[in-house]
Amino acid sequence: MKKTTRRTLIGATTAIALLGAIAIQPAHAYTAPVVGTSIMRLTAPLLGDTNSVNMTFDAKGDWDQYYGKGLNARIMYADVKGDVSLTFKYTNAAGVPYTNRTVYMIVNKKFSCSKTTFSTTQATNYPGSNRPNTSAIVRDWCGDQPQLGAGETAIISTTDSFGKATFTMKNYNLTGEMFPTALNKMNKYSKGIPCGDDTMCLQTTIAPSLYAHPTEAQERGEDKDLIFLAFVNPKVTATTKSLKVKAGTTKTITFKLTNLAKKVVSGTTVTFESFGEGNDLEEWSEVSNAQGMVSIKVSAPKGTLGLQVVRAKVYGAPMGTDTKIYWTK
Amino acid sequence: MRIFVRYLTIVALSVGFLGITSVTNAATVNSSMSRVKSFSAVGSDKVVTLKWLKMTSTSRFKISGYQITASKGSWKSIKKVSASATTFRFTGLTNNTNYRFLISAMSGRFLSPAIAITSAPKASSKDNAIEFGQPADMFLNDEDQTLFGNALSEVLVFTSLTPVQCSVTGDKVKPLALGDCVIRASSPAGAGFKAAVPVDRLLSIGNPVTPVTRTLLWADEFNGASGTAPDSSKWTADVTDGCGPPYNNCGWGNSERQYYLASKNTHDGSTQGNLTISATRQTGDTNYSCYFGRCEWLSGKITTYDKVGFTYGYLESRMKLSPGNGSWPAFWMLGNNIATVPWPGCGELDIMEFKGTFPQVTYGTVHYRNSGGGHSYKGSTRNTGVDLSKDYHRYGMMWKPEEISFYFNDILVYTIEKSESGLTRWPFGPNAQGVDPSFYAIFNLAMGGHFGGAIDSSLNASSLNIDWVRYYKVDGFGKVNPR
Repeated sequence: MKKTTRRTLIGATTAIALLGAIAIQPAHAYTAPVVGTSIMRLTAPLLGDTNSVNMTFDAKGDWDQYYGKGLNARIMYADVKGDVSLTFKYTNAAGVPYTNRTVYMIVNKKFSCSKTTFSTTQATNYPGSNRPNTSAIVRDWCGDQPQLGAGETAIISTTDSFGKATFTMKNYNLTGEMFPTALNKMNKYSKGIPCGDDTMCLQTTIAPSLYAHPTEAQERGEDKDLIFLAFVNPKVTATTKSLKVKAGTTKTITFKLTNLAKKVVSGTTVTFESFGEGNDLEEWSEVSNAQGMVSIKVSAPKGTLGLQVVRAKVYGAPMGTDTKIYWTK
Repeated sequence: MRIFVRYLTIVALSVGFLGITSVTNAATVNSSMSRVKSFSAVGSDKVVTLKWLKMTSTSRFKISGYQITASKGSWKSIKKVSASATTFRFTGLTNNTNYRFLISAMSGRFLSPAIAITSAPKASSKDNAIEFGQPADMFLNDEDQTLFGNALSEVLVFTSLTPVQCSVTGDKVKPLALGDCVIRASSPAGAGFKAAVPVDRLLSIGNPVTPVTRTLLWADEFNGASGTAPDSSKWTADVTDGCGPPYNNCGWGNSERQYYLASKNTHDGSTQGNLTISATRQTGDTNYSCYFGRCEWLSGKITTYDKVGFTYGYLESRMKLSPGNGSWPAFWMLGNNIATVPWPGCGELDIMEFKGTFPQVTYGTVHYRNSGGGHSYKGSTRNTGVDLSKDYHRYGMMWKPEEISFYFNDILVYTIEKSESGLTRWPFGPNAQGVDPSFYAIFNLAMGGHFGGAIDSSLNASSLNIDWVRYYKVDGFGKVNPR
């Protein structure tokens, strides 16, 4: 689980490695958050207990010190290479909307080490100089290596008469995390599937703000929804989980790719692995077709008896889906 | 309790079913025979499918087939299948009822000891999922908004989770109090589908936007007698297909398919008082020739050109828009200097444009000449969530020298500021001499063309109904320029 904690040991260690300097920042003494003077909440999509993971408990008494007292933190899943649209509502502490006001949504928040990349058609504010163009949102290098990019990018918008502003962007990462078991279940980052700075974890930390790049003091005045947006690969489903095939013949097995909305995903590369009996696979990767399907032929010499497991993985994914083939006489 | 019975005689019932050989003879259980392996059962809709591994004959026992028994209480059914079979389907069973299945291998008159398994057929449960569109925010006095969604099971129920702020009846949401209204879309289990994960959407209920100070300067309520033309002191009808003087603009610049007649703009004489611009398809012979041949549609267009001009302020009209694919009604303005400063240099303000193919969407756009001398436009749309051809709504524009905002029922659709145009001087503000611009208002109903698109071949008539048009001075901005 990534957090936006500042000056963590990981951040400091990375700084040492890259800069060759012994300069570990002292950890802040915990300061209990206070009620903010502004409130900013995600209103679309509306996150609840069925479609997101509540992580607010993780912040309490720890990293909530960097925000207003009304901090909510949630993990939400999104399709890798997909479009993202988030609407926040900005009000004062009494709930009166800030109308026609310039507001921001910060992506790849500084110190989050988010590796996600995006493009947006909206105006942006990026303090670094290393992005390819003004539409690009680049990763955060843990916030403390300005020569590699100063981290967070703020998308700029203007609130409407209800105090709302919508931010859109398109993800450009090639591969994401494993497909979640449920929208309200956290992916297993720590049980054999590394996260942190590893390729298997793909989250962006997103925060609304009244400032493009708020200071700690400014952000403590904002009661907000902090969103950990996790980008996931399509779900791979074997159309047949196990089957018996007569040795000496050839059989085509298929897998189907679907996204979080349960719609088929085309144009995604799937790699295949084979274990056990049977001949080597003729193909090792295929791109899903318009129906979201990929197929692979399996065969075994006559007389083969036993089990062959064919595993299909979205390219770059840590885990796959198996079909078991029992070769028989 | 396990009972070891070396020889047990079973009298099988006679059943002729799906080619299964009837079992009429007595069979004897021989515990020396191996049991059937990997016996499994999978229940589906009124069916249980049994599977097992094929048994191999030995020198002592040649496998001649399998005997399968299904039972539930006192009911029992016995089937016999061939030695090559490894699967069998029991059909016509009662869903959600446990059945006990026994299988024995047969070798002549001997049966192997039975293997038992219990399974229940059940109606197939397919995954269900909901798509629920984001409802638009509402003001307290807004008309009910239609919610849009669907479920794989095609059964979708909307409920309000915030009954103080809003109520939901069927697919309509009604604003009740200021605050945030949360609506849940649910799809219960049924008809072979699982229950879907519910989807919640939030829309805000706000106070209507009312300009601070608003003074009515000019209006036409269109209260004339039925069939009469609009007030000639305010309106002029544009006619023809645009070819020829004074327009010299065939197809009105957009390859439109209609021929304008003054007679197509008439008061309806109703209690409410409307002006109707009606478009009708020409199905028979016609006297009207268009730039592309025989005219297809007759329609209407009225303007205040040379009658009344407007400078800044708030212009609004209440209209019911014209239905049908290909219809393109518009409420818009052009610079009065169009004769000397050709379009787009004179500027164009499109307060409302609509295309019948997207009946919930209104467009607000400004057109101008860019700094390179070409045509630029900026604008946006609002998906209102309702069919705009079904009822009357208000479409307005607040015009200030350096900012123009379009509204739908007081909801902001789009704002453009002069600074966004990239121009040091734009046609919607003072000119080089400091003189403010004057624009004239236009209502028309075009058919087809670049924006309207293909016209529905089954569409024979459509109409734009205008309840009123009103012009206000707001916060010091607004001036009528009579000719």
